[in-house]
Amino acid sequence: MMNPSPNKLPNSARTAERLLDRAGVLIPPIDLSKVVSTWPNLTVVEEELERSGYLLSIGELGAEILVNVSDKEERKRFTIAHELGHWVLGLALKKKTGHFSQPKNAHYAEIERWCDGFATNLLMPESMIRTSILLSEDTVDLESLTHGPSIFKVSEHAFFLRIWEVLRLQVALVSIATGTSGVLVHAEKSFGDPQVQIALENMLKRSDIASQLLCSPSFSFSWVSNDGRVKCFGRRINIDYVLLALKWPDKATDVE
Amino acid sequence: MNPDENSLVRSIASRVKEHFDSEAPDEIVRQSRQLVLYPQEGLQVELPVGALDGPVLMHSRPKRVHLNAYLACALTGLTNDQRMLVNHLSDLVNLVCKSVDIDLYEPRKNTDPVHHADVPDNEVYRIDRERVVGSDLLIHLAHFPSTGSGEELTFAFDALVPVIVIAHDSQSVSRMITGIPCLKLDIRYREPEEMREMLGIRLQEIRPVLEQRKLAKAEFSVNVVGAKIRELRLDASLSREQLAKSVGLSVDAIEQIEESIDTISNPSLTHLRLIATTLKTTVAELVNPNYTESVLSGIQAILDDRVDETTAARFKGVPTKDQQTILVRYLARLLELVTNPKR
Repeated sequence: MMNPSPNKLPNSARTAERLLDRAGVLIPPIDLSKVVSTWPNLTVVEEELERSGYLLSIGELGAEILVNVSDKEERKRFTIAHELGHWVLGLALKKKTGHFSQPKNAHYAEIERWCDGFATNLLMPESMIRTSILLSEDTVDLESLTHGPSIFKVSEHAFFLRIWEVLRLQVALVSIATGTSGVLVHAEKSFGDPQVQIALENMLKRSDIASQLLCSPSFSFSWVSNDGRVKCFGRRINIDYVLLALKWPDKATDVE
Repeated sequence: MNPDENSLVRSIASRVKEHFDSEAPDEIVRQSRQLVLYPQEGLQVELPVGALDGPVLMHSRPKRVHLNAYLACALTGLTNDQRMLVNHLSDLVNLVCKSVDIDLYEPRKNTDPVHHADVPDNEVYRIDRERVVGSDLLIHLAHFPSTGSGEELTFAFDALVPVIVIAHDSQSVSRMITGIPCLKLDIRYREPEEMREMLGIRLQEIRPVLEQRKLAKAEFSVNVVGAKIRELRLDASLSREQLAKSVGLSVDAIEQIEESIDTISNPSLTHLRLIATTLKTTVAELVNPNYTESVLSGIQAILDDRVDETTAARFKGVPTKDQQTILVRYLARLLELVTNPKR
């Protein structure tokens, strides 16, 4: 994830990387308890809450990360990682000024976005994402894609958005139905920037593509978009759905 | 091994691991090799047969405490020749400091009146002051008169930073410098090379004292005074501007006192008295606030539905149920603090 304000806040990816190094966490799923325990005065407490969580700074006693006990496991992990972001920012400021607080030179929303980016980088570091997805010029291992969320213990939504961010690999769940007017193909879920989602919808309208999706249990083809050649790999999940992985060219180098 | 021995072995193993973790593995190996291959003269240890076959890992000396020094010297209004001399001597001092693992901060590289004329006056004051009071040692080149250096020496004295005064043997040094009642060493030299040698010896001698001072000072690297002043100012519904005006300091100075750790802000007793009077309290309360009293007044404020503006702003928009949970967590932890204040 891009750092929202490189001049005001530190690089979230590098900060997360250093933290994982310090905690000695090398493989997914990220052991958050190990990361948190690198600070003896930081604890995670589960409570009945209306919102997802809070970071409670308690002066010299350190801090508590309060997490909503009713949230799903993946959501709790994201909350802890997000609040860790606030903790790290607060500590950096404390080192400078002696007072634990959040940076005053950045807008509240910027800090929240930074903590989201930090949480993403902490739970799904770029290096681990790259090694977990088997991806080459000619193929994408769809198995590794579908197992990704459980390997990283994150939600499907978060994982596939991260896949897009790191690999420019757009994952989509496409429904197929045959009716009186022919084959109806529609992307029910798709993860990526809005423009690639629109491009995918346009591609699915082509009759040759629709028939390929309908007939083959697994397939690969490519098509030329405004950004260059897109390689598409797919597999029928069941009679109604197809899983697609579209490898978009890298912005600067891969454009034909 | 019986259980007691087992536990002893585990305890030793953990201490050894902790000990080695404090230094880079490469450094441990390098020092160990040096110790084995080139033992110190007079060190007579009977090594058992085969003792040198494998690597011997041990610390030859404890890890050094990182030290910082500040170089104070005339920079304003110098002729070219004078500037060249100051630069040459500064380079020498820097080299000597490096040789004893002391980082030297040189204002000429950051706030020089010629090369960094664009840095605003108040910034120069703030940067140089923070650097001096944050240093472990001040080295003063007393070759040319300098009001800036005079200020820096005062900052050093206020913060109990030891001082080394360097001057040429033929030169007379102001008694306002030689008379500073703090830990002070004088170096008088004839040739720059002699100065280099003398400074090296002095720094080696004084290093243990500086390390001890730094470790002792570390516990004051917290913001107790500033935080208390801010809290009482908000309680009294005073802005920083109003407090600054009442005390006779600038708003920046009040902000620095409130936001910096005590060793950096280091307000004078006179300033503390004026601030305490304005805030209707005592200097003792500012310097060593009573935590139990703070907790009680905080709880009282909540019970009276009278929460100060910073606390209120922090929980604005948080659902009431969550606010209550947070309050319970706060009270539980504060209870720990009250019953076990050393934690």
